[in-house]
Amino acid sequence: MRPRATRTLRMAWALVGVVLVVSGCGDENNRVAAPSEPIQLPEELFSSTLAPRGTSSRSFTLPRAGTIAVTLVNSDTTIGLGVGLPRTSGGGCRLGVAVSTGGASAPQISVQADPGQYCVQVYDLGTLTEPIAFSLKVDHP
Amino acid sequence: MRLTALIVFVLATAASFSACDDTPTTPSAPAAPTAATERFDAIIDPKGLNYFAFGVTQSGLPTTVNLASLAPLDRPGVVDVNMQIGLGTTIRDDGNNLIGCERRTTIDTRPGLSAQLSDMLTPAANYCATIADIGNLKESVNFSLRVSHP
Repeated sequence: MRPRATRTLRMAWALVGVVLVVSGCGDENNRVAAPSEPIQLPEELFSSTLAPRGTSSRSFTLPRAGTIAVTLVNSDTTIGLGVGLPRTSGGGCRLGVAVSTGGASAPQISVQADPGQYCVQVYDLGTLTEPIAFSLKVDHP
Repeated sequence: MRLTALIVFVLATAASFSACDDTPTTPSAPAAPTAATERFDAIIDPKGLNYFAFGVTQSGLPTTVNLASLAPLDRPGVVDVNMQIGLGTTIRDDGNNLIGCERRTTIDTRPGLSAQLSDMLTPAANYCATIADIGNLKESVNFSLRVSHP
C-alpha cells in the first residue's frame, strides 16, 4: 500500500473512534445502582398533657395508602385513643377508629388507611381527676 | 477511488452502530385519569338519610366511598355501628334542584379509614353518595364521608 493511502486509512480509523466516543449514549439505566437503604417509615412522636374531660390531638399526612400504627407509650391511666380526620374548623378530630387503653410497647391501633390528612387524638374517658402526661408514637407510610 | 469508498463505508458503519435508540418514536399515550377526593361532613339522625352530589368528569377509574368517621356530637370517641353507604344518580326537579338520590350500589359498614364501597360510574355525569341509618343509631351523630372519583 502506498504511504499516502496508509495515512489516509489511519485517519479514517481515528475518525471512526471519534464518532464512536462522541455519539455514545448517555443511558443512566446502565449504571450500577448502589445498594438500596431500608425504607424508614415516618414516625411522629407526640408528648403532651391530658386534662380531666379534655382532649389532645395532632394532625399528620399520609402520602399514600398504608397502615397507620399508633402506640400510646406511657400512660398509667386508661384513656381514649383514636385516629380520624381533622375537623375542617375549630381544631380537633372526627374519629373513625378508637380504643380505650393504657400505655404499651406494641401499637394499640393498627389500621389500613387511604392517602390523606389524618389526626390522632387522646381523650379522657371521664375518669381523670388531675392532668396526666402521655407520649404516643404514630408510624405510617 | 477504492480507498475513498472504503473510508465512506467505515464511517457510515460506525455512525450507524453508535446511534442512540432512546428517542420514543410512538405517539405518547393519553393522560391517565386522576381521582379527586371530596369530603362531606354533616349530622345524621336516627333513621335518617343524607346524600351529596358530586360530578364525575372522566371515565376509567372507579368511584370509592369511605365512611371515615362516625362520632358522638357531645363527646370524643367513635360510634362503632353499621351504617349503609351508597352511590347513585341524582334526582332533580324541573328547576334543576337536587331533590334526591336513586341508589344503585350500597353496602353496610362500620367507620374506617379506607374505602368501603367502589363502583365504576359511567358515563361522566353527576352522581350522589348516600349515608343512611339502618336502625343502629340511638342518637344523632357527626359523620364524615370521603368520595374519591375521577
